[in-house]
Amino acid sequence: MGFVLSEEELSIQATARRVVDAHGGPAVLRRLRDERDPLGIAGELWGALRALGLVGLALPEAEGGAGLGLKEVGLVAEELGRTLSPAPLGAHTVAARLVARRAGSSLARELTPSLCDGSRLATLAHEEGVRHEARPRAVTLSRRGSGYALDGDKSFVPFGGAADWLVVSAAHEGGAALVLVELARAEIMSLCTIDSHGAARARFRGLEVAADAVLTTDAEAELGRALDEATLLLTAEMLGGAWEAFRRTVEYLKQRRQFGVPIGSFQALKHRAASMYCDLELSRAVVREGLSVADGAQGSLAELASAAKARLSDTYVHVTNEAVQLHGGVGVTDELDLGFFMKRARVTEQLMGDAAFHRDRYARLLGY
Amino acid sequence: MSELDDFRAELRAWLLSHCPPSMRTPPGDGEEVWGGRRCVFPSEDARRWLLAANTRGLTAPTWPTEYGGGGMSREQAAVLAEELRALGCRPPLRSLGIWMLGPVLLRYGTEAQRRAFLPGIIRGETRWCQGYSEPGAGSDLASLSTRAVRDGDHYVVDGQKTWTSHADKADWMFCLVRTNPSAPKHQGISFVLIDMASPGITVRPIQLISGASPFCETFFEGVRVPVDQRVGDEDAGWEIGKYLLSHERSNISLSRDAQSSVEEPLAAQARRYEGGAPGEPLRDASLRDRITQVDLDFLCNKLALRRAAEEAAAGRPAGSEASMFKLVGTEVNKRRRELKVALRGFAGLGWEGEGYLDDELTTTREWLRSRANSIEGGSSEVQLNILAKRVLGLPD
Ligand SMILES: Cc1cc2nc3c(=O)[nH]c(=O)nc-3n(C[C@H](O)[C@H](O)[C@H](O)COP(=O)(O)OP(=O)(O)OC[C@H]3O[C@@H](n4cnc5c(N)ncnc54)[C@H](O)[C@@H]3O)c2cc1C
Repeated sequence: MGFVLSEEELSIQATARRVVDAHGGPAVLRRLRDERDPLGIAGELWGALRALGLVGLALPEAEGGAGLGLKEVGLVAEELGRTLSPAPLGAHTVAARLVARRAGSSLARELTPSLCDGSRLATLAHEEGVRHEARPRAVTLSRRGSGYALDGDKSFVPFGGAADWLVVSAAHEGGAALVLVELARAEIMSLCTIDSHGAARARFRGLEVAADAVLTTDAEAELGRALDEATLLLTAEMLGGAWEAFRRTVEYLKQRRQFGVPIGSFQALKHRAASMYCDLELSRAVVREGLSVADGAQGSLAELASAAKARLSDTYVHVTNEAVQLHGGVGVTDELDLGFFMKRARVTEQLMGDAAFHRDRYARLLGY
Repeated sequence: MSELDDFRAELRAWLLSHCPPSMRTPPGDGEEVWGGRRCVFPSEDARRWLLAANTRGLTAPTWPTEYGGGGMSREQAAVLAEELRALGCRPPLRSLGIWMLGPVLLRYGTEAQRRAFLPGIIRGETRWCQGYSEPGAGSDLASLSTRAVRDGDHYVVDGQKTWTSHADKADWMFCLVRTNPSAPKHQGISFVLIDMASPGITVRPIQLISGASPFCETFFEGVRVPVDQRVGDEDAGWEIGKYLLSHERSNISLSRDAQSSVEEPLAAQARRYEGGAPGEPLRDASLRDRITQVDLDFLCNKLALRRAAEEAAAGRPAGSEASMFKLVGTEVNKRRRELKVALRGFAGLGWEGEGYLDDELTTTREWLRSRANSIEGGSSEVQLNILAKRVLGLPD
């Protein structure tokens, strides 16, 4: 019965809803934008989420996390998406899970409790070049003396300016490695992006890396899994945003009058709204199923992550484009929040691979 | 072991000994059993399988045993469905009586009507057809004009129905008729059951673009129908008729879903025609992407169906979902059928005769047949209207 939310899940959802409504929302995003905030995080909201233990939902209980699953994190991510609240929940969860699993590294052991309670912030630095790829190439890890050296550029690190630690994917001897880098040691350039959510470029130039900071040099499977988890948490956020843009649009269709009647009585618009509704219902099903599978339900994580991201990339972009169009002139004004949804949709579409990337990947996974 | 596990074990053993091996293969063209007085069974095994199923009410698992149903709980019926699927058993019977009329009789029928009609429906002894559409009343069904005039304890019915699927093979028809022409259109309709052998009924088959002629025009001239064959009150048939439609819609989408999941994947079919090693990307990149889009939409629809079923089982049914699944299910199915023809290239263009494999000819006919999926049972446009109104609350 993976689709029916349990009492506990409903209560997490209700708590998250309350907190993001109190401390997040488009008004906060607007302020970050107007102030050109280099970190791009709703700080107060993040503090409130930490105080309630919602930052470590899917992190180990023994280290101060809640020991729950990604499905629960997804419910909070949906609320962040619904209110367009920039908070590094997905990025941090996935990076912290990678660190927490590394009992062999004393650095990782030392960091884990602070990542679980959120007093330190981590993010995954993976994207390179102009498009998502599954394997790192531009950033390389090579042996140097008793340790390693890290070289190359990461082009788009979500919340990269605000994190304390980066988990960096790197090409290494024909495979992939994961490396812990303290933010202060990297060259960071904060990006001012259309969605005003934190993002940065990171450059490593022969950066010395101690052996203890290398989480693994055999990262292929683990990185693949982490990317799938990050992808699914991102789709949960996208789902929340898409439903909200849709809800606002349906409200507007009922209230705005032209030709003496509500514009929602025009069939051309009704049909567009109804077909978006179907898109969104199907989206919800695939996102929730993907997160259940990430938590251990039967199914292929990789297939579902690609299925979900392919659909949500298309759906979020389509719904926000329609939302702007169906609002007419006010739809393209900065005063209305809808533009923020459209901009966030564009960014999330590209992050972790767009629809074409994931359809291609899905086909490959199925052997065609 | 829980009671349900016991039930499953016993049921499986029973199915293994009562479902003939030949009935545990996918049915070929025309091998489906629709029952009825004039039923021609495609094989002796098919007849034996239906008779066996009837001893346990398997055609209507959750209906009361007093009418011949299986008397199963929802959980038991789910186990039955799983076991039938696991063993590959064919449905013993396909039936509009079970899918559509039964739920209506159970909810709106009198005890006498249930006793009179349900056992024959369940056992597949009577075959039913649906007399809704008329030449002037399609999507706007409530504008129907077939008249039923009271004459003592009978109605006298005059008019014409059309698109009546299998009217030429059916024994009975559930039918919407106008009993009150002066009332507003939704308030003058009654729901009646008509014996197709009644004097005054003429049936004329219509041919489809696929070459088959599964439906008919049905003419009524002074047809006498006993008043006790009316279901519900006089002039109160519209609500009943709509209740039946919601069952029709969920059935159209569910049966498509079940059918497509046993089919050879589109990509494997494409590979057969274009060659190349398994695991390699298909050469035609555009076809490959179209296949993935259909596969993914199909997957998402299946998950949404499962979610709706789980929510309903948990006591949180969401309402107008039948319209969504009818719409999405039939539209995805149409795209899938298009692709099946497209990936066969020239081999998908045959109508009949030499030069084509049976599978190719069937594929092409099925593509043509699938065009009707989004028209029958309420068109896609009508489903969008329903969703806009009922789910989104958009104004008229
Ligand atoms: C294979 C098949 C089997 C069938 N079997 C049966 C049967 O057994 N019994 C039975 O009673 N009927 C049956 N039907 C009839 C079916 O229910 C009707 O065809 C259907 O309701 C559409 O009606 P119509 O054909 O008159 O089209 P119309 O209603 O004339 O529609 C024509 C076009 O206009 C559109 N349209 C109509 N109204 C609106 C609106 N308000 N808003 C937007 N668009 C609109 C439709 O979507 C369609 O695209 C069957 C049909 C088919 C194709």
